[in-house]
Amino acid sequence: MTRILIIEDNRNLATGLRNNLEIEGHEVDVASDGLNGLSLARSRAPGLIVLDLMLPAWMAIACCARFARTGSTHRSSFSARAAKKPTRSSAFNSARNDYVAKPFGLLELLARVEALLRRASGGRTKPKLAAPVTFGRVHVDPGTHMVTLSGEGQ
Amino acid sequence: MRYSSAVQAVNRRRPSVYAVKFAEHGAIAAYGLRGCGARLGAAIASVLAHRPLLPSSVTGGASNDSIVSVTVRDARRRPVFQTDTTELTAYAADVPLQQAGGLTARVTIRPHGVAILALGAVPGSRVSLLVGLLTLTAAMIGVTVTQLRREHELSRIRSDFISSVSHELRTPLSQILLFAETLNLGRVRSDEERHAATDVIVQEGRRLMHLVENILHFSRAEREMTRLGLEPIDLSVVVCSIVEDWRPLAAAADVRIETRLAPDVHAVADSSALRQMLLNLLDNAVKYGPTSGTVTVGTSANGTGARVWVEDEGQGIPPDERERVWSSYYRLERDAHSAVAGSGIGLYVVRELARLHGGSAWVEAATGGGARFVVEVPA
Repeated sequence: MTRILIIEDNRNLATGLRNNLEIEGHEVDVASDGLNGLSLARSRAPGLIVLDLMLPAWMAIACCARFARTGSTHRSSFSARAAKKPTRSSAFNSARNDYVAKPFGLLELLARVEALLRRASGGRTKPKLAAPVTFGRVHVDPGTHMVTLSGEGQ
Repeated sequence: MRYSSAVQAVNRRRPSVYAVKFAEHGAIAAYGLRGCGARLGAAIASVLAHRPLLPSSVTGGASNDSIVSVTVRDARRRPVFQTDTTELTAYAADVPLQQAGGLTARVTIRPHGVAILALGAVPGSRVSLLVGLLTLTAAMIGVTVTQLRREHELSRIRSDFISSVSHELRTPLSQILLFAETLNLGRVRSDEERHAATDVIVQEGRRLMHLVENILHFSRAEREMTRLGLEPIDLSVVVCSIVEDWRPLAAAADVRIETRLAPDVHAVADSSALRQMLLNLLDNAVKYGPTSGTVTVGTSANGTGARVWVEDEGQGIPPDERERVWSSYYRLERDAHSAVAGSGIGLYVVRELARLHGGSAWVEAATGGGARFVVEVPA
């Protein structure tokens, strides 16, 4: 489990991302603006930050610059469009580890998050398996490669 | 027709490109370039390379440069473009290029040019006529350069518009895609999460529909193709219905909507157009107002007119911008580079639709310091 911080001012997107990352087994904090994001980044020391670059520009740059200086966390960021000004680009480039454009695919984002976390742990983390699923009397556990019917191994 | 007294930079990123606008309705009358002699010189050189001043039938195949010398100076008499100035005659003409921001073009004939142009039996007195011809041609340089600039600027505005619209479409699309994939993959943990996901998809789908309709209205307004179906309506009832439809979208942005609807406000209006106008005003109020703020919508009767107004708690519109904000593609400088998506067509559509109703639209300061947008249509 990794603690992840989402900094996103769109409440729906933040909620959708949080739910999906929680389902992946992560602990998720959400900040709706850069100031809260910086505060949570300091107090909660997340292992990964998902930052919306389309926060008010100066705040997004400030966040990236601050994260780059502290260097204690591994970050991912996503944005609706590429920054155009060189100063902004360089700030992002120095701070971020990955980037996806809106609208992004859910599975792609989750895969990138897992890849970043694996890279951060030096490849020691095993790829995360899907959670067990039950439908009707059938129970499938990808972790143990076991399928049971009414509790009996098949 | 009065021109705006203030010459304004079109875009902060391009402070050298400025526009002069009509004071009455804010439409752009002309574009200009400031402090860009090198680029202007290159533009003129490009024009001359592709469009010789004198056709080869006149020059006998000699290059234009061997016959005439051209110098273009800016308003301060500094040369911005100059061909070789050696070996000149006294036959010269100066043409002020009014349409090209105070530029002056001087065309001077070289001795070799006199020999070619006044070749044979052409009397010397004809040379001044030829200079006049050159003068007219030089004036064409200015017109061409001006046209080039305008086309370039229009192309930039079009490109910015497409970029803004696509950005505006991406926000609802991102949400629809995220929650549709979440549902499709069965990644919901409760009925509550499932309902929340479907609610977002429906809301953002409506927002997309509104954006697309806005672009269609804009396109029709530009081509003057909008047709209204006017009918007597109870304005407060229609406004109430539109506000209720919009309320979930406002709630998603943590904004509360209050209504102050006067009873029995009758109007002669097109309900669909009225809906588009009000949705544009509500969308702006939610976008530019503060988070957790309140947007107030009201109606009132005013003699022969019926009014609907939308008030926000944002920063308001500066008095000198209150007319300009209704222009197409125009966004306040403070918003143009902010994270708030906008294409600059919403208020233009509102005013056009109000005008087609025989009414009007304007903005004033709200009582709480924000902006109060008012649309008046005939009662």
